[in-house]
Amino acid sequence: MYGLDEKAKKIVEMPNADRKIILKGPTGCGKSTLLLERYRFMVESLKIPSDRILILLLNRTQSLDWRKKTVLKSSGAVWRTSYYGFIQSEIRTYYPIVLENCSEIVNKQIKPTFLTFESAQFLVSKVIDKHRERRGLFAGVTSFTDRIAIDLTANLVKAATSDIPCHEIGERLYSALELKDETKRQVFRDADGILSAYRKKCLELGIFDFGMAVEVYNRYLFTDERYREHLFRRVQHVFADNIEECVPTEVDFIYSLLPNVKSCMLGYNFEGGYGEAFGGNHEYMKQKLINGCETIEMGKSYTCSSFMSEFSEMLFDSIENGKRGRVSEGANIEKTPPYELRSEMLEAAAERVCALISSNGYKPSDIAILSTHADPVSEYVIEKILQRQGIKLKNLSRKSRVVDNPFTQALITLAQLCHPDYGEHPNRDDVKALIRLLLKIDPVRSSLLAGEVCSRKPFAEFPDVEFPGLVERIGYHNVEKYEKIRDWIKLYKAQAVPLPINEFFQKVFLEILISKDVDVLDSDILQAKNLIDSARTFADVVSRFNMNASREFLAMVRRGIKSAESIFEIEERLGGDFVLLSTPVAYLASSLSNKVIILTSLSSRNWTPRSVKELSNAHVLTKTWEKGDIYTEEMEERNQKRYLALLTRALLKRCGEKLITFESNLSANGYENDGDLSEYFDSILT
Amino acid sequence: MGLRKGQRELVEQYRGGYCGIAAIPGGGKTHCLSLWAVEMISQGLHKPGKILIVTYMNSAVNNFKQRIASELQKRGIAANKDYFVSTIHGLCLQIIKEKPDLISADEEFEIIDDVNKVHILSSSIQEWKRANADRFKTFVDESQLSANSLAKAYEEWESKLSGVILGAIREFKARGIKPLEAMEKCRGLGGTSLLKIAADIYEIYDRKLKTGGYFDFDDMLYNAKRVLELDSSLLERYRKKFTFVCEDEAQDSNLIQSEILTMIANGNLLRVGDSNQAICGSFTSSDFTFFKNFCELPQTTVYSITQSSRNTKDIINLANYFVRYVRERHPVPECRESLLPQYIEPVGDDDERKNPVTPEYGIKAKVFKSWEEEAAAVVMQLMHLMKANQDKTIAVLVPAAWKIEYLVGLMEERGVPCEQLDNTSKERNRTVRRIGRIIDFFALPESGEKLAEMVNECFIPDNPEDAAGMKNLETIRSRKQHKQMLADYLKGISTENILYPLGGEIDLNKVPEELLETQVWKEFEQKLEVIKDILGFPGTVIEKLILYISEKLAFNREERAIAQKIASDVRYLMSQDPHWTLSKLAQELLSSKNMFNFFANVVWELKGYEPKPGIVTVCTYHKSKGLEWDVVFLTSLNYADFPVSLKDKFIGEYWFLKQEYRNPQAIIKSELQKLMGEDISNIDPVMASKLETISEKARLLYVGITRAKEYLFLSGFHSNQGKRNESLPSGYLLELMNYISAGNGQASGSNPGERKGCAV
Repeated sequence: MYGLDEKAKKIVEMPNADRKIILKGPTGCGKSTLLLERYRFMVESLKIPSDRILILLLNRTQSLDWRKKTVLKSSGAVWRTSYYGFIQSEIRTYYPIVLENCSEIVNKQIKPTFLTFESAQFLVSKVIDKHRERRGLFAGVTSFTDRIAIDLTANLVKAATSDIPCHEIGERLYSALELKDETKRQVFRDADGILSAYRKKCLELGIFDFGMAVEVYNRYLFTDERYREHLFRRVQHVFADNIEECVPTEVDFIYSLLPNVKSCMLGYNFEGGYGEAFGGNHEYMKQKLINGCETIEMGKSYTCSSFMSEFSEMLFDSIENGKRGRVSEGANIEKTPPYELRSEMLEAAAERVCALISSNGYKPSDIAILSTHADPVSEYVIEKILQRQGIKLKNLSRKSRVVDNPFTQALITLAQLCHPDYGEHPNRDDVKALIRLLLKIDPVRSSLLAGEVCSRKPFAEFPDVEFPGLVERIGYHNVEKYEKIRDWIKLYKAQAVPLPINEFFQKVFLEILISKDVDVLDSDILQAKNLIDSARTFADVVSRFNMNASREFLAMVRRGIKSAESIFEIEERLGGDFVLLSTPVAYLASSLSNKVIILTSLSSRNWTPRSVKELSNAHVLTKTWEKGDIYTEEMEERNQKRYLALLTRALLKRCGEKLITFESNLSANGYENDGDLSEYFDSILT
Repeated sequence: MGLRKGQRELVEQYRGGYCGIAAIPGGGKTHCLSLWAVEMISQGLHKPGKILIVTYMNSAVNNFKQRIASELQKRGIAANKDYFVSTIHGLCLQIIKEKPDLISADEEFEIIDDVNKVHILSSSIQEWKRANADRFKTFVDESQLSANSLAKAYEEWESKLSGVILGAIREFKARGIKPLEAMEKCRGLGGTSLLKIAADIYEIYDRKLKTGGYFDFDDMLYNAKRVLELDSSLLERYRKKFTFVCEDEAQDSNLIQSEILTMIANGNLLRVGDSNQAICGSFTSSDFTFFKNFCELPQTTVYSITQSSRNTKDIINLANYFVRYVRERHPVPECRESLLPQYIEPVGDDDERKNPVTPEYGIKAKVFKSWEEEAAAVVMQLMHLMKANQDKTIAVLVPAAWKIEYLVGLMEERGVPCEQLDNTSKERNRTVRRIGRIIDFFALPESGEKLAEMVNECFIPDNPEDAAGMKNLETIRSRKQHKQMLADYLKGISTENILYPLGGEIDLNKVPEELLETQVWKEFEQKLEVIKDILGFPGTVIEKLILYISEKLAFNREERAIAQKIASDVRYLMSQDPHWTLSKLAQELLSSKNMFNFFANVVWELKGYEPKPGIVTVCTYHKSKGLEWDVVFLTSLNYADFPVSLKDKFIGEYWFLKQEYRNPQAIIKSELQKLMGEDISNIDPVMASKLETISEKARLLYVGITRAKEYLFLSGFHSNQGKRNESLPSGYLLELMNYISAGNGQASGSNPGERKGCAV
């Protein structure tokens, strides 16, 4: 924690006055620390009940930071939440009011259910799949269904958080197009059709995704006088951090709290605003909140050296305004000449990390490697090189899939074997892995047994292994273990009704996997628990759509959905002596800073993603967009530059001592890289 | 700088506007184009933008880059951002990636590789066939076929249809016709219109590509052009980005490529080509008339490069004779314009690089009794040559890929080191194959056969270098036998007894004593731990398994790049289709045409191809373009591949089809031309296609001849004499044989009599 200066101390120790404050400062100036300290002071010294103070945070990593640091002497509950978390819990608590006000919800008997992003995408892609093949929906669009589903669900969220009615999405996007044609118009109509059908069905059933939850909250709860009275009674003080990244409806929410709360303190990083792709709207926040509060300016940054701060400003100016400052490359900034292949570049970056640690005295935790594509392959390649020096690497970006963990994979394979009716049959590789894990026998013998299992007709099942030849090859002891599993499956299948999938997993977990015969790591148990939780949530939702939730879950898992993550796992990644690998965006979403930051693939175009996509446009689906305006290419160019400028400045401000860049001429696919960031660096480095 | 006529004008005078360089083979196009770029950059004349060079293959891209970089370095100029060399597809990819939304594409669209493309097309044909079984059958000449051969004919037709439709789709795309538009245009055509069928299948194929998030190579060109047309600001940006646009191998350009480059060029367009080397027309939509027309524009300055020091004067004479023959005496008068009157001149005596001279007349030609005999003779001859001249680079050119395989097999048998230039060659696919072998075994580790194959291919090298680094043919042979012995043994065992014996130790009594004593067995024993390490790796995360294999096999830089690419793609593939299995993946990796060919080649070509003495290059005539060797064998100069008269047998004609449909490709082309109202006068489409084929094959032979620097061997065969499937040597071969035996082409100053009986 940074030592607080006098000015900061004064703010922290203000008496309980009715002040509404915005703490405005650059990255790393200590706003978040100040917010925290003020909160602690209010609770501990001013004795304000902690359940009267609403703390709104950006994401789970921030929440975790607060959790760690808000261990209070008093025992009151800490009301710390993200905007979405808040909305969910309010809808749950005040659901009777929602039901009374919202006629679209037909099934009023059950509790509200909230969809994860993945479940929402799953449901949308189911609808698209059906219509795309049969009715030629989205003709002319070159994209997979899953991708379209992601775009559509994201549009729904953006519209809801910007207070745009769902049925206007397509029209709004289409009319903003610079180049219009009939095919495109139809594509957006198709999108609207899919979304409204999906939305209608979900609402009927009392199921809400993020976007719908926001809409329902704003239309049916927040407008209700009874609710508002309750709310204002409960919330007497508000804390919020990074208000520049807030979505418009969150800004509106804070705005309407202001006259009703006793105090508020909002952290505002004026250098931020790179979260527009996720719906954040810096401009709108400025319009709404800045004038209603008193602003306290905070000065210098603690997370980066003055040189780096200067350099980051220069780079910002070069990208955003085309200004050309000159800085000489040296101890603080190293721009490595391009490698031909991306693989070479990754290896060289990893080698450089090793050298930094072995020769320059850095600790692993001093170093972060940032890559726009921090996929498992990059991770593995870097990890292996670091491992040789005994250095650990952690990937901050969540990329692992449910099926990546052998333990959860085993749960799934068993589920398939026990429910042949679901039509998801395990393949030989899966059965082999299952047998290896459960029986702890060598790969050859596991494969032999897997062959026997998979050759059964019509479905794979564990047969009696009695041919003398085979028994001999497998070994008697192993056959005994095998028979135990076989009998377990038989017994299960003899049941009249299969268990719901989550209960099935629970049963396997308790009766087989944590038996003494199987090697189980703590992390495996955690993974299994995550799987059971995901299955439960999924089943709860999908079963209401007249689908066999257990079967659909197995199918979805095989398509590579990412595994859920508990807060413990995130916590684990944030502390410890290891080198960090992350995407720039994930890194910025954390509150981390490092002495050394390594940027890879500097010449990749991924640094400047385009905001206009075939089915979406983050700038048009927002509150500050004037309906009917045309989103021009100049705007796009300006926005891309602005994004890159903001992003790199924010990253560099987290860099304490040294910045090293790497790049390759060819991308991972073997095509020439031609992004601009590398050239911006060149233009100011001498 | 050592510049010749034509080259000098380019480097010293070309500073803007339209410019065409007509060059003869060996004229040093890459050399002078690179020098020109360097000269412009040195003088800052390329500002404010860059110089763009578009060439036809990745290897050529790398060649240009290396030449320009090294020349700039020599001059002490750091300017790697001042020029950009790319293939046309690389350039188009860049353009589309700028704004994929303009053409309703997701930014993560993929370029489909040839293998997947064929898969998708086949499944589209299947889908169409299900609803149109009768229409499909109607083209086959049932009256001529027995019930048995009929089934075979249908099968054959289906497989050929894929190529026919692909050609049709390419024609549609080249004209910018979208699927629905194509169907609309063909609505009035009858049910047996091949073009109408092609339009139907085009629609299905296109839908499948789109839902898969794919573009094919033709889409890339078409869409890049569209993006530039739709968005004038983007076009403006590209015009500013590139002050000069240069197109290499311009004779192989097609309409869209020409249009794109002309749009970007903004007036400064330099095109370099040789119309006599236009050899891509029949399987792409390229057409050398675009280059020819460009050169004929009033505003185009044309420089001709006519001198070459590549070949001996004998070979130059032969090449020039061939041009003259075609132009003056070709049996089909309509084909006489297929080669332009561009004759190669040897360089002058004052030139620093002189034409090579051989002690004897370096051209030979022969007709054999069969392809097998020809191939054997070629291999014998080149072995002989290699022994006598260890410093010579050698290439054997063949018309078809299967013949490469045959020749390579022969050479391997005789211990002749060789390499293939084919994208799917063993050498280039080695990394992919090795990973494939291991995964194949990993998927079925109880199979002795798979163990044997893996061990042989991945763990025990064929010919380890001995202490002196020399390869001894005898050791290679006995090692081969020992490897076979090991393989035979492994194939028969239960693998667990070797890998995980119950008692902990391998029972050596069961291993043949003979084998136990060999070096190969010792190496095998040493590798067992690595094999077990790999087997013990959890198979649930396949991408990690692949990277682990790369680590365990101590892959080098290029191999690691390929392994990483496979690993990333596999992760993606598995999520697209969860039913992928390890065995299926292994199958894909082991097939010579696989989805990783493109990337493996990019990596391979980074090293650049450089002919090496002592290693024979085997490639198709087409792939030899742009290359040169001391000794070149032109094989299979037969009618089927090098037709001369209209009565010759033509590839592309299908005997099992009704007479009027025998050349479906030609019919489609003419149907389309008619539909588009293009001027096709009254030429019979089949005839037109034949004329085109004859012309292009004449140019192909010309390319082949001009690859040889010192020695040239021409051969063909005459097999099955008098039978229905008789195969005759090409008329060109016979003509050239006459010419050689008459001693006409021997360079002046040498005495044919004295040269007889020399080493060749």
